[in-house]
Amino acid sequence: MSTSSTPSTSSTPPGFEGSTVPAANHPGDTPAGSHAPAEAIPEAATPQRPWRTVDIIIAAVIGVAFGVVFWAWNLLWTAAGPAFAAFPPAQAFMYGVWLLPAVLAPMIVRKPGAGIFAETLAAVVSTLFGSPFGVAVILYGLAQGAAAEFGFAIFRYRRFTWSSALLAGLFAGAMAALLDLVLYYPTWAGAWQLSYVGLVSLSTLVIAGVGAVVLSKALAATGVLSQFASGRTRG
Amino acid sequence: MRHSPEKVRSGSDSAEVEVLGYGFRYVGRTEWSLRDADFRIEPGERILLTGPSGSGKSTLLAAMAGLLGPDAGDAQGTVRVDGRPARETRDQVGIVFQDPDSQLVLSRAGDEVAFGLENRGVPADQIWPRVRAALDAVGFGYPLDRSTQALSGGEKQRLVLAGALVTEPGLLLLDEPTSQLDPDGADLIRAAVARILATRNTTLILVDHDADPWLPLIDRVIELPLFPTQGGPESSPANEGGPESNDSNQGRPESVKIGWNRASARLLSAEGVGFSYPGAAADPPALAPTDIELYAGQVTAITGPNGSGKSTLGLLLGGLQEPTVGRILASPELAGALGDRPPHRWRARDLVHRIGTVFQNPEHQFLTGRVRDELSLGPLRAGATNPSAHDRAEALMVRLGLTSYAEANPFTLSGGQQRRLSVATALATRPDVLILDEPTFGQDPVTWAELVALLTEARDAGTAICMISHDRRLVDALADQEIRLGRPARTTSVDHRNTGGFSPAGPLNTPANSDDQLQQTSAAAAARVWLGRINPVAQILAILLITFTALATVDLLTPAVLVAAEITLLPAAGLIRPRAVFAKTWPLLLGAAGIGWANLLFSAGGGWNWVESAALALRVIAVALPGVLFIASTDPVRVADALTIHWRVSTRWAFGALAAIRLAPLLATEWRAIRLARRARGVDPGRNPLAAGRLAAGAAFTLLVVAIRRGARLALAMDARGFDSTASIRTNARGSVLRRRDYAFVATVALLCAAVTTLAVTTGLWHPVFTS
Repeated sequence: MSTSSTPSTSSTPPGFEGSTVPAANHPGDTPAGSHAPAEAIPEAATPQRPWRTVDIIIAAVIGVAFGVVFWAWNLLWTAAGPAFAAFPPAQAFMYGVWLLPAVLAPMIVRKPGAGIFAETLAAVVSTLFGSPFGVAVILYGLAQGAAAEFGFAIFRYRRFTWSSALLAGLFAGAMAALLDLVLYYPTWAGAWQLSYVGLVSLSTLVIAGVGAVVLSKALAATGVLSQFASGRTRG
Repeated sequence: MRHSPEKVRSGSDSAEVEVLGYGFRYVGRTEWSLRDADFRIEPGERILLTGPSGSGKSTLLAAMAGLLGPDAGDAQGTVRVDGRPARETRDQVGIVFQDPDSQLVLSRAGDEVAFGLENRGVPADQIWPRVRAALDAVGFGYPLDRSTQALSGGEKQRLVLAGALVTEPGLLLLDEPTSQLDPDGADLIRAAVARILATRNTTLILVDHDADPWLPLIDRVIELPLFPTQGGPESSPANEGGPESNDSNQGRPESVKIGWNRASARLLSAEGVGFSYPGAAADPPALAPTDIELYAGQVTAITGPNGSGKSTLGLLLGGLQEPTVGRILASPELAGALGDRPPHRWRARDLVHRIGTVFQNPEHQFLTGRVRDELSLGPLRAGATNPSAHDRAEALMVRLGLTSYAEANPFTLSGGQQRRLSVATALATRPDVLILDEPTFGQDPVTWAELVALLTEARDAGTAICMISHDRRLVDALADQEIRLGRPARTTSVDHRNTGGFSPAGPLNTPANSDDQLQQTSAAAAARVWLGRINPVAQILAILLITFTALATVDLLTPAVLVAAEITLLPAAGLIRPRAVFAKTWPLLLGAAGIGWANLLFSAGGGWNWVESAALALRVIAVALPGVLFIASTDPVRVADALTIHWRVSTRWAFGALAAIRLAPLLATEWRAIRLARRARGVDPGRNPLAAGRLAAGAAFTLLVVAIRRGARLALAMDARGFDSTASIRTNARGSVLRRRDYAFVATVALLCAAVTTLAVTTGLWHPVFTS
């Protein structure tokens, strides 16, 4: 098999190395909405440009970093349990941290699937470090990530703003709460179950939704996101 | 045998490079990183590329490697390799960057080198001979399954070099390959490069601040001019004689006294301090017992090879960590009202104007979003008034030439500026003792000279300075006293044959500076245990079956049978000793207990439903235990192989995830450093849980920044090895086979699940969720 004759990827416009400055290839400030030039994907299934390696790795790194955070948060959650003995559903206010990568990764990478990928990977990493919840957490990761994607899918992955982030946080939280009731708290009374879903969703709306927006702006300010449109739109 | 038809045509091992009026501006930047570079390099030439920081050396190398695509920024002019645009000749170029940890993708040495060949679609049967040849070429003396985690920095970088060479590039680019290594590691790399150049005609382009030791290999020096401000020490006493072999002085540290003046006051002393990480093997310790005395107005240098515990000693002296043996004594002059309490028990705000610590990575210490705030924070913590803290910050900014960056985010500064800022933040509180970990890491001659001037000033003002450094020139320039640490001797033999696998719980307890000692004992067993030989996709199927069987019902029988079956498999996953089993399962036992408790107390019917609560707790264990078995027995690389081969998971995502997961232990050690760095800045939460939360959140943010930086470097290194154009052509050197025993395993588990469900249903116990 010949390797070096492999054609360069479709995203590389021919003649780039020529003397002209290829400014036309820059999507500008509204990358998703700007319909990347025609070379994007032949199937035209999506307006997105294909995933670059840096997109994959940064989404994965967000997942891995939060996996480490999850590990600590899992222990904190378990340790804090007795403090909520009077009304266990109240502990749900701590919930949002577990859904942050599901919202943060799409806010930064701005590609469909970033939420599922990062959230699932965070779950995998937290189980690698030893999670009280075992592999079930990975199923959670998949389900929560997918739920968060809806927040962005509604806007066809063209808006990465407060509205999409908050929706994503809300959806992810509702999904997580439903799974919890089935898995861990099936004996609770209906009213408690309902208030649990409400509290979890509220927590994820605030921590994951608002948190992801604040975090992505703070990260953009550090300059580490310079390779992403999310790192360039606002200081 | 050659792979690329172009190479056959050119009939040569070496590439020619033309840089024609080239310039580049990264996206989002206003200024060009490089402009109007224009030169030509003949095939087989060995070039040293020099120039001050910011002259675009790294940018130019990235352009030659074809890594600057249209996404990265705007280009001007052309870079051609063998007459073709560099973007098209990526297979003919190999590149090695600074930090080996941000370039390694896989967990075993052989797989790591094979990565570039797989990405380029080389058939599996041709991969391993070429991998062996590349490892031989760089003089890598370990077997193919050597864990990359267990290598020293220099050995890792050798491996990276082999990974770049394995495609037999006509052009080899080295971007500061030794700047993150200790002197032994740097020697390893130079020896490896010399070895390659002796047998191949590869064109070489090298960038390295420490250029002198390379000169024998170099034909020609090309200088990239840029900034007119150049006044640094152009040439300095080169490290003649080189670093002596430090391994010879094992055990007790040796102290060398130069111009020592005992007239000044002793401020801080260590008496036989040593350190072992809790949970890590106490033998060898992270730091063998050491004595040291720091005097006002004197500079002490701590030197020694990686793994000798230099950074650990710095943490102990800095009052950031409690020694496990010996003690740290602060003199009355230093401690003042704090009496004879040891420094690690001082409050952070008392510590910060007595002992200042500057960490190796400045980013670990940044706490605010503005340079100005960063400088006034320490004085404010130590009780200074607002105006005086402000004045101090202004004065330091003027002194360090950071005035124009007063409003900038510290993370956006260049490496040299960040370093100066971090030293300045420590000086801002006027500590009596200043401890610096590798202050000149990655500095160019100009910033190096500035740092030396700054430290000289502090010393002359009476500060006791203790610097941990590999930098011979720095030690020679400043040190009054040198403490040489030896590598703590191991008294027991350790199994080095560990393979891939993954044991992330370990690194949490492992010091950042001794990753060469990092042992993955459970991983060593991974490849050998019975369960590890079951194909990962078969294991995943089995886990899913068990999970759904357990979750379908809330009876006691089903999870009890499943848990019993899982326990019988523990030995097959290498979990035999009760201690090992407990270490892997305590979090889930805790979680199960919590779930049982929550349901016991608060079930809807009221009253204490013991059976149901026990069933729920047991169910949590039944669902979680298979994951413990899987992780203990299975190598992540095999998982990625199996998923991509059998389930057609995208190779880009699977191996991207794998590369990021490999960063997890690094992030865990960085997390520790970040937490300690907060205390060094005068911030600790005391007993206030809200402050503790804010502190942890800030530390997590820093971790994320550091992680994203590492990730971006890793992505670049992966693209340099062909990862970005690999989607359809990637091969797999290891393969993944589904054998009869894999089918039998899944069938057995399915049978067990069916049997237990049938049993539960027939006995009337089976009780699906939400049908009460």
